This record gives sequence, structure tokens and C-alpha cells, in this order.
Amino acid sequence: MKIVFYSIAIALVCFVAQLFLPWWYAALVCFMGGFFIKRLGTAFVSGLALGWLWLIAALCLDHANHSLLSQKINLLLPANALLLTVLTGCLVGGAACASGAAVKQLITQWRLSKD
Amino acid sequence: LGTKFYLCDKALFEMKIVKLLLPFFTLSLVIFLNHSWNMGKHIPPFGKFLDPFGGFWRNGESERKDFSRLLPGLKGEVKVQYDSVLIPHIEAANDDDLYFAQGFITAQDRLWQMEFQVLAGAGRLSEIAGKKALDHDRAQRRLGIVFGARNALHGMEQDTTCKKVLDAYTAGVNAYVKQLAEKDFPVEYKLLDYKPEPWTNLKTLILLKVMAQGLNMDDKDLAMTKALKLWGADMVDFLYPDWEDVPEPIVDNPDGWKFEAVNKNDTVALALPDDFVPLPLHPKPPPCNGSNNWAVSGKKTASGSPVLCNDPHLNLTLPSVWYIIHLHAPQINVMGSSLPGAPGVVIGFNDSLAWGVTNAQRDLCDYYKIKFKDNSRNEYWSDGAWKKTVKVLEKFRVRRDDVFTDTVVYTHHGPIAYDSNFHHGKKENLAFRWISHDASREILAFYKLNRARSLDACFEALQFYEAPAQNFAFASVSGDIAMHIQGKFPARRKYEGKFLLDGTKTSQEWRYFIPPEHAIGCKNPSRGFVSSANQYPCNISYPYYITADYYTTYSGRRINQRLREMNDITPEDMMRLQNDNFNLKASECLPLWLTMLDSASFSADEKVAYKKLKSWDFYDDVDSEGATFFEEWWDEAIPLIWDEMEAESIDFPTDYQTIKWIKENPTLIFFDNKKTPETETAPMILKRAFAAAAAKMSVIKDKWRWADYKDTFIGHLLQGLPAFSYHVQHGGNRQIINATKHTHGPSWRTVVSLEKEVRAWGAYPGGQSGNPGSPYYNTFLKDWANGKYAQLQFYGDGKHAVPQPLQTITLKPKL
Repeated sequence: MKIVFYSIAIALVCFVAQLFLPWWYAALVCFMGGFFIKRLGTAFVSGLALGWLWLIAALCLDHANHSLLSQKINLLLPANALLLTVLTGCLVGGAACASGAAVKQLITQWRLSKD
Repeated sequence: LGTKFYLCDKALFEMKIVKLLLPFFTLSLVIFLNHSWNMGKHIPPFGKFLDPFGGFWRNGESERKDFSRLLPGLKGEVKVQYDSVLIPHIEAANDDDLYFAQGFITAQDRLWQMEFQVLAGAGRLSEIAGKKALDHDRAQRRLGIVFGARNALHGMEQDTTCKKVLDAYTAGVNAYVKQLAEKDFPVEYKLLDYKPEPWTNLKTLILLKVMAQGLNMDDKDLAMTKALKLWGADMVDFLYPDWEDVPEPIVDNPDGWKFEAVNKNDTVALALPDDFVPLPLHPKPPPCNGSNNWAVSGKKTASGSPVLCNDPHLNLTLPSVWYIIHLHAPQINVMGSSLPGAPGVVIGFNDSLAWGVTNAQRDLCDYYKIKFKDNSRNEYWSDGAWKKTVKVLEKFRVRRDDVFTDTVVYTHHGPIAYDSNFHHGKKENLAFRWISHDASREILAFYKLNRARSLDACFEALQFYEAPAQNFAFASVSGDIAMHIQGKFPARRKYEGKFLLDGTKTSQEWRYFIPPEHAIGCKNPSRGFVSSANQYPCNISYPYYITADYYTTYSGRRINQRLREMNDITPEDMMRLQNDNFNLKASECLPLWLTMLDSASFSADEKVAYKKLKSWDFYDDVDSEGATFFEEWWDEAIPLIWDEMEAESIDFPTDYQTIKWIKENPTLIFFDNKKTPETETAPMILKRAFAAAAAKMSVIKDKWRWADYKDTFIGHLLQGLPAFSYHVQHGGNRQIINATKHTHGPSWRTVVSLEKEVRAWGAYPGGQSGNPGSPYYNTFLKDWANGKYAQLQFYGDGKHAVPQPLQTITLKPKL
């Protein structure tokens, strides 16, 4: 259940951030989310939400465009543009979120070791 | 706690390493995905490119909605209505706002193309494409494209009208660029990962120079100089006559010319060069320009009003070279094709008249051999004294590489285009003189032409038009038709401009220009029509020496033949004529050629080929197989005949002459192929070529249909990027009225009927939007290929509305 909550939260914040900011701010959002989530596995799965967000956004734009552009871009890219978009979003989101969790854990351990 | 650490097992330690590395991995990943890379081929910045909030997905056009925008720089409100094929109709209250809006709207649809063409022209492609474009860039800078643009701009900014128009257009483009968020950049910027720059008046001029480069820079001076050395002056005269004795020049003036040449008393002899020019000449495509324009008087039309037709032939690219626009303001109501990046309408009509252009072809660039004092190239010899050169340090900001610098040396002739620094270590220094290096005012000419209400006003406007020289056809609602060949033409002595010139004597330079009153033209000729198709301009009695890279010899004769036969002409007849696929050349040579073959000894393949050719009707239609067999035979024969020229990279003599000699002079020494021991005659060569063609055709059976064989390709400006390009099935060929080749042809076909309510039609192989993600990217492509036209939604001064506009944009001044 927690993962669903985290995913939705990450997707929502990423959505708002991406309306105004360059794409890599989404990675920053995921990183901060991971920092909060703390657990490595949970963080990674929650971070995939960026991929789902990108999937929905791309599907909406593609639908309105009747796939006119994506059909052309498919010829340019090594694989289907939608698939690559989702994979890139998942990879960046998952990795950034897990990184946040990892850094949080390292900081905790470092503090503990200092005590 | 120390023991706890000591006790931690290996797995835990490894986990810690992973945790440490993970953030670095993520950071590298994000950086990698945020940049474009060159890994043999261009890799776009995947993260940025795929992100649906800022990447390519956003370029997919959805439903168009009306909007209004506040823009600083506007004086009043401007209404822009797009009609159903995305042609903008612009209504402004004054000239400044009109050209501002033209700039804004053109940028909205074609920004990437505008800028890309300028970068290519200015020799700056390596800034976005990297090292592979450096050679192109260096060549462009050595031709003085920007030098010419600066001179032209200087000339135009002296004129208040020109300056006003250029400034307003530039301000409009920049108003668009300024409000454009990165996420809304055209998709090509995202793919190549760069940003649009501000527009300038100079960029407009560079764009016009790019057009000029395509129209009046072709020249064979160096090839002819080489030919002169190899074969002598008489043979060059024979092989490459300046006048080919072909009937139907643009203006036949049987009464003669009632003036003497301004340079008649010029006694300076022109020495023929004795240099051998061992330069690697640029490989040149076969002559392929062949634009058409004609105007038919009301005597020959069904409506009783004149009709004007024009189809300029250029490289067929996407986004298309033309952008159709309707400009409406007090004193101006003009519609037609504009060049994205330049204000005004280039080919078009208003409620009083219409005009169209074809290229005048005449030789307007020369090479001068320069003698430098020493290797520093600081001084050169001219009229018995050493003159100082100007050196320009050209910088190339090559992407993902060091800045490359190159010195271009300028003499008073122009830049040194060929020298040891560039053209592969050869010692010659050749200065390049080009008419389009000079100050000019073509913006003013089009400004006046767009507003002209009578032919006299048109001729007055043309006095400001210098280059690239064009054949202007006119027709008016009041019933006049006219042809006028306009440009700044040097009055040349015989042979001047045909060969390399001596740069040490100013007497070898352009000393006189043909005065306007000696220009070639005619008004309301008795035959009831005027026409041009890049052929020789006039009859031989014209008092000036005329030379050119080449003149066409077929399409013009076909046009005139058809126009003479036709009466009660309708606009639809004219559309059919623009799409006429009759191959006059084939009809003039093939019957004879077929008799030269020995049908008794045919192989199976040759029998097939003979049958196809014998039954061919000489039309290069989509389904024609005869057209393919003929083309293949021709392409086999010509290099066998002109092997001497091919070996030296010299232009081949014209098709017209080749056909004539095969018929009249079959033992001409050049018919002998040097690679074979025997001495060939024309029939022997044709037989050999026929056998080779038949054999080749037997292995490409899937390409027998003419359209499949020719494969007309409308390529995107990025080297024909397949994703953004199209193959179309279309007939025609070079030297045919429908001169559609593989990648070159009618870039815009328009027919204007000058009735009281002017009606006009047009089609081009593309669409108004330059965005591959727009449904208007290829609107006209299919219709163009099928010879169909869209009626242009022109309206007179009284009305101010487009029926059912697709989108209305209101531009308002931001105070």
C-alpha cells in the first residue's frame, strides 16, 4: 500500500515540477522522495512512477496528434518511441529514488558510527 | 561499536559500496541523457528528447485554437486567419505591422528551416553538425556569401523603405523567437540539441544569397579553360557554342534591335588564357534547372482574360522552399509564394496583375587568376602595381571540436575561392567575382511589385531588381501580357566570362553594364502569349555577347508548340500543360536511333527493349516503361560518347548538340571511345549502349515503371532524413515541361486567371507547416503528385474574411 502512496506522490510532484522546470528536476524530485522513503527496494519501485507519468503524458499528447509524429520518430530511434520513453522514465526515476534512499541510509549509518 | 564494525560481514560491506555508487550512477545517467553525443552517428539527448513535458512529444500538433498575443513593437492590431490549407491571410493597418506579422507568422511555421538555411549559406553548419560539415562551411565562406549579404544589406539600409521593411520583418521573427519556450522549439532543434538564435536583417540577406547561389553561380569557366588547353579554341567553339541555333528564344525580335551596344567601341582585346587548370573541379550535377512561366492573352482564353502560369524548378525539399501567404494592408493586397526568411511575396498576384519568374541563366560569375607578390599574399599585381589584399580570419566553432580558423584573402575582384590552403595543395589562386557580391535592392523591387497596379508600375519596380537575373512574365486584369528579362548584366566582349580571366589587368574586368533600355523584353506580342523556360533569351542579332553555363533547348519549344495550338484556354488546360510529360528530346532522336540498331542480331533482352521503345508514345508518364528504357539507353550512351570530358571532369556538350551530331556528323572524332582499340562511330556507340542498357534492364524488372525507376524523393533538409521525407509517384523528367527529376523539379506550380475577380490556384510538394508533427506538413504533396491544385482564397479590397478559417490569431501591441 505504501508503495502505491509513494508512487502517486512522486508522480504528482514530478508532474507539477515538469510543467515549469527542465526534465532532470524530475530526477531530483525522485531523489528527495527516496531520501524520505529510506528503504532501497521500496524507493526503487516507487521511483518507477516517473516512467508511468511519462507514459500517461506521452499517450495523451500522442492521442491528440493521431500518432502523426511518433510514427516518424519511431523510424529515427532504435526502438519504439513510447517504449523508450517509459523505459527512460522508469530507469531515471527508479535509480534517482533508490539513490535518495541509499544516501539517506549511508548518512544514518555514518551518524550511528560516529555515536 | 568498533567490534560491531569489525564483525560486519562481506555482504554488508558490498551493500555499502552499492549505496555509495548508486548516486554517482544516477548522476552520470542523468548527465548522459541530457546531452547529445557523436558515436559514429548523432545520438540525441535521450532524456530531454523523450521527456513528454519538454521533448519531441510536445511537437505533435493537436487541434488549433484561436488565440491573441500581446507583442511589443506592434503599432496596431493585426488579424491573421489561416485558411483550410494553413495559408495565412494577414490584415494589418500599416506596412510596419504587416511585415512584422509576416515575420512572426512565418517563424511560427518555419523557424527551423529559416535558420538552418542561413547557417548552411553562411558556412556555419559545423556548429551543429560537427566536423563532417567543415568542408562545406569552408567552401561557402570562400565564395563570399556573407560578404555579398553585407554589401547588399549596406545598399538596402540606405533606402528608408527597404530598411523599414527589413526591420519590421526581423522584429516580427524575433518577437516569435523571444516568446518561444525551449519545450516548444521545433523538433529538429531538439533532435540536434541546439537553440534558435535571434534573427537579423543580415540573415534575411544571407537567405537571399543562398537563393542566388542556387540560381546564378553555376558556371563552367574552369572547365572551358581546361577544354581550351586540351582541344583548342575552334574545337571549344564547336563543342560548346554560346548560341545553339535552336528556334524559339524567349523574345524573338525579327525587326532587330534598334540600338548599339554600350561597349561597342571597347577596343581592349581579350586574351584567351593559355593556362592549364589542373584544379579538381567540383562535381556538377547534370543541368537540371528548367523553370517555366508563361502568360496567355485574353484572345486565347475561354474567359477572355489573361492567364499567367509559373513553376520554378528547384531542389525539392521539406520543409518546402516556398511559404504561401496573403498580405493585406492599405495600398497592398498581394498573395503568392514567399521565401521563409524574407519579407514580401516573390511570385504572386494582386487584384490587378500577376507575375512569375524563371531563371535568366546568364553567366554572372567569373574567376580571375591572381599573381601574388609572395607567399604572404599581402599584395597582388594589378595594372603594373602591387595592391594590398584584405585578409579575413574566418572562425568555425566546430561542435565537439576545437575552433578551426581559416584565412580568406580578398582582392578587389572578390574572395580567393580556390587556393592552396583549401583545394588540395594546388598553387593557383583564383579570385571569385560574383554579381551577387554587389550592393542591390531586390527587397525594394518586390515591395513595389507587390503594390503595382499596372504593367508600367511593374517595369518601374524592376529597375530596382539586380540579381539573380530573372525572366519576369506579367499578365494584368486590364488585358496586357509581357515578358521582361531583368538583372544587372555586364556588357561582355566575346568570350569574356567563358574562360578563366587574367587578374593582373583591370581591362579584363566588367567595365560596362547593359543599360535598362537595352534589356530584352516584349509586351502583347501578336502570337498572343509570352513564355520562358530558361532558354536562350533572344535571337542572335542582339548586340551583346551572351554566354551561360547552359540554356535549355526542349521545354520552351514544347510550351510554345502547345500554346500556339491551344485556343479557348481554361485554367484547367494550363494546369494540364504544367503537368505535360511529353519528352520532346526523345521524340527528336529515338526514331533515328532505333534505325541504327541491327535487329537481326538482337539478344532476348534487346528484343524486349526494342519492343518497349518502338511502342513508346514519348510521354514520361508514371506507368510508362518506354521512358525508363530510353533513359537507361541515354545514360549508357552519353558517358561512352563524352568519355574524353568525363576523364577530365569537363562538362559534357549539350544534349541538343549531341543529338545533332549523331545525326549529321556520326564520324565525329569524339564518338570514338578512347578505352577501346577500334575507332567507333555514333551508331557503334549507340549499339553498345543499347546492349548494355538492355542487359541492365533485364536485372531491374521491378523498376520498369518510370515512376519507380525515377523515384521522386522529397527529402527533409537534414540530408533527407528518411523519417521526415517522402517518396512520391510522379511523371516527368528534365527537359520536359513537368521537369520533375529524382530530387529536383517544380517547387511551386501556380495558375492565375486575371478575371475581374482574380482567381488563382497552386500546389507544391509539401505543406505550409514545417513541423513534421503537423497534419499540414505535407498538405499539398499528394495533389501536387497527381497534378491537382488548391484554389487560393484570395479576396479583393472590399472583403476582409476567409470563409471558415482554421484558426484566427490576433496580434496586439503591448504598450
